[in-house]
Amino acid sequence: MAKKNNNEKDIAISVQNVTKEFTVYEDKSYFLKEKLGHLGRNKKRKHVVLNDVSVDILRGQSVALIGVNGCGKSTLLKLLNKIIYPQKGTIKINGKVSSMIELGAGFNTDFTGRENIYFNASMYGLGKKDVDPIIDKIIEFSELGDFIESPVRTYSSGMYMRLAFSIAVNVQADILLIDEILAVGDAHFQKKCLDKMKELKAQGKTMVFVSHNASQIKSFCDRALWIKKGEIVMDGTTDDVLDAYTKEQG
Amino acid sequence: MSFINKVKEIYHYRHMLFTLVKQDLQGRYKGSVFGFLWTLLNPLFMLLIYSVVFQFVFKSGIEHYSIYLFVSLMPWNAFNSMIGGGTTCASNNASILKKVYFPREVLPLSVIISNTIQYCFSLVITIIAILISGIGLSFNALLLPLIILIQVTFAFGLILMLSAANVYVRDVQYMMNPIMMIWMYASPILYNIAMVPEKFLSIYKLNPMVSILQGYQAILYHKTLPDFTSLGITFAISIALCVIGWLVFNKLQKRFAEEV
Repeated sequence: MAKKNNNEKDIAISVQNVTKEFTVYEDKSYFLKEKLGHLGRNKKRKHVVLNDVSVDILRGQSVALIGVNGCGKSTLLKLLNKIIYPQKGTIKINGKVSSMIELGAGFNTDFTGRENIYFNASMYGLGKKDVDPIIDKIIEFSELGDFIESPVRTYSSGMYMRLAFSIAVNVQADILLIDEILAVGDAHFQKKCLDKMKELKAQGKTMVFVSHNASQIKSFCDRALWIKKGEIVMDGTTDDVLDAYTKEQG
Repeated sequence: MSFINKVKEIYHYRHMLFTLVKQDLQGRYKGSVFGFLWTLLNPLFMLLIYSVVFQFVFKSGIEHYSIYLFVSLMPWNAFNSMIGGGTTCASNNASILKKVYFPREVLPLSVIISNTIQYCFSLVITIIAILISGIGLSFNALLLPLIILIQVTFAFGLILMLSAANVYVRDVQYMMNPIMMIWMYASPILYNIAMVPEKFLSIYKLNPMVSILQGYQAILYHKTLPDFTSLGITFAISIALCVIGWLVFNKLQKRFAEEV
């Protein structure tokens, strides 16, 4: 770890000795009969996704998680978002988290875009009073125009993502967890997203990225973690880590 | 996470809770012309059918049988839909459980709240029916919120366990159908407690729904005070059930996103 002796309150995310393993079923059973049938037969095995990982992320830092598919990046991101829990170790988060792991999760497609803004924002702990002052900003950012009054099921996938992204960046979170989502919409909207992310970074938000896009990572992140087979093998400046990573990838 | 912190967190997510309740109440009748009015129309039709059937077709030994039935069946139906909706509330929301963080207790809580609201509307019809039938209301009816509270607490304790268990083993939701049917016949709804043979009575009364339903019957049908001792015991059981339910739920919910 490069940074020690950090003031406790400067740390946005603290991960200590976290181990996460998944039970892999050969054949996922939902029903009791199958569960009973599988007893005795060793049909499941343990798969260690993260092995004794420790890392501190400071307030205002933008950190990229890089590594090959299946190395545990997304699992770490889900752990940070408390969607899943580790078997061992602790995770401390200081501040409000906005997750862009799966955009538009929890949209109720029968309801209009506007209704879904309120619902989605409520998942970030925002009430009507908190949403009312920012709703115009969200709608404007999404460029949905009059479609905001139509049910979300009538949206194209691009419109869906635009709405979800607009909500996620406007809920005033302190920590943003982002999984490979800057591929939202067309080139114009992507640029807008990137600008917005830069603006949030300038405001001192903490960000954790999972991305395979080297140029995006370089333009954003001041620090990168290389995760390999569930362990952090390198932690340093984005340029250094990316260089070492691309060298190994060949 | 300690209980106090959990309560604080749920309070922080109260907007989500209210939105889920609103969506459930609005979404239930979305696309229908009468909309929320169906909440009132359903029990109204039920009352009409019972009045006709039991006035002219079946004769039962119970005076004002259609009112007796109504007073008992309304709370049972509410209980039934709380358990039904509650058991599947986590497993049916796989998409948000896998993708978004929120205190998972919000899901069973929203089922309880929206069903309680629906139930209160159906009680309006019950009370109107009681007035029309000539039985009339007494001041004892003011105890209604107390009995509703006990019933809701009991249901919530059960739902916490059932919803969490159903994520792991889907048999729970199918098992609940026959269980609820047996439970209905093991409770004084279609018949009254006087028809239960004396020697079974002590076992029969172990069913917490017996004291709850008798409570409703006492204050609305017999116009007497309810049996506070048995209601008190049931309330204590319900609270214990909520505590155990919360412990179970809290343990099982950690792997919801992986199992669902």
